[in-house]
Amino acid sequence: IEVVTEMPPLERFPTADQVTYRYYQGLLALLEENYIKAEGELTFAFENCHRSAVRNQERILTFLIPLRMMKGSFPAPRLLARFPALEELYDPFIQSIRQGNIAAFDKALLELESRLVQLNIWLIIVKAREIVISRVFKKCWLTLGKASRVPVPAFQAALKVAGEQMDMEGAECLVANSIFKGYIKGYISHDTQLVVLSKADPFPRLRARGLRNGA
Amino acid sequence: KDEETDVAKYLEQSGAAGGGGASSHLWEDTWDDDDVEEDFSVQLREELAKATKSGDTEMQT
Repeated sequence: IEVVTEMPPLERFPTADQVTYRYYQGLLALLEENYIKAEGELTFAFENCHRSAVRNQERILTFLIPLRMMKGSFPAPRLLARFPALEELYDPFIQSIRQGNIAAFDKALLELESRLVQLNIWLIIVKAREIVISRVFKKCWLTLGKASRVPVPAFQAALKVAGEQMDMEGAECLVANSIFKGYIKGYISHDTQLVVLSKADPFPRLRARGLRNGA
Repeated sequence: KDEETDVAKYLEQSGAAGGGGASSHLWEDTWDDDDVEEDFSVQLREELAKATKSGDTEMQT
C-alpha cells in the first residue's frame, strides 16, 4: 500500500477513510511483528473511529488489546464489558497475567487456540506468556523480601507453584530469557546457581519496559 | 449504570474530537504492583522449606 507515492497527505482524506486505512496498516504491521507501529496505527484508528461504529471498534480492539497487553496495559473491565466477544477472548489471559498463573494461562491458550489462530493473534499471545513467567519471578523475589540474590532453585519452586513443573536447567533457561527480554535486570551466576539482581529496579514495570518489535 | 454511560460518553467524544488522551481511563496499567497474594507466598515458602529439608543446600539464601 505504501508503494503509491503520488497521493495527497492522508490527513486530507475523510476521518472514516483514515481510520480504515490505518486499521489495515496496523494489521499489516502486527503480522510483520512491527508491534510499535501496529500499536500506533490501531490507537489512531480506535480513537478516531465513529461512535456508532461499534462493530469497527470491536475489530480494532481485537488487535489493539493484545498489543497493549504486551506493555502491561489492560482494557478496563467497563471497556471489555461493552464487547462481550472480546471479554470472552481476552479476560482469561488478563486474569492469568495479573495473577502470574501459568497453568491458567496455558489452559486459556489451549481452549482459545483455534480462535486465536483464526484471528492471527496466536503468536502475540504466546509471547505474552513471557509476561506471566516474569510475573511469577517477580512474586518470588517479593516473597523473599526483595533479596539481591535469588537462587535458581527458588525460581524453579515459584514456577512449580504457578503450575509449571520443570527441571533446574529449564528454570535457569527461563530466567535467562527473562533477563534477555528485559523483564529482569541482573545476571545469572551459573556456577553458584544464583541470580544476581540489579540494585535499581530489578523487575521493571511492564509500562517502563514498553513495547518491543518482534518480542 | 454509571460506568456504561461513562464509556458511551467517551466513545461519543472520540467520534467527534479525535480522542487524544481521552481514552486513558479505559486502560489500566497500574496493576503491575508489589502485591503478592497470600496463597502464592505461603505455597512458595512451603516449597522452599520442603526443598531445604530434602538436603538441597543451594536453597539456603
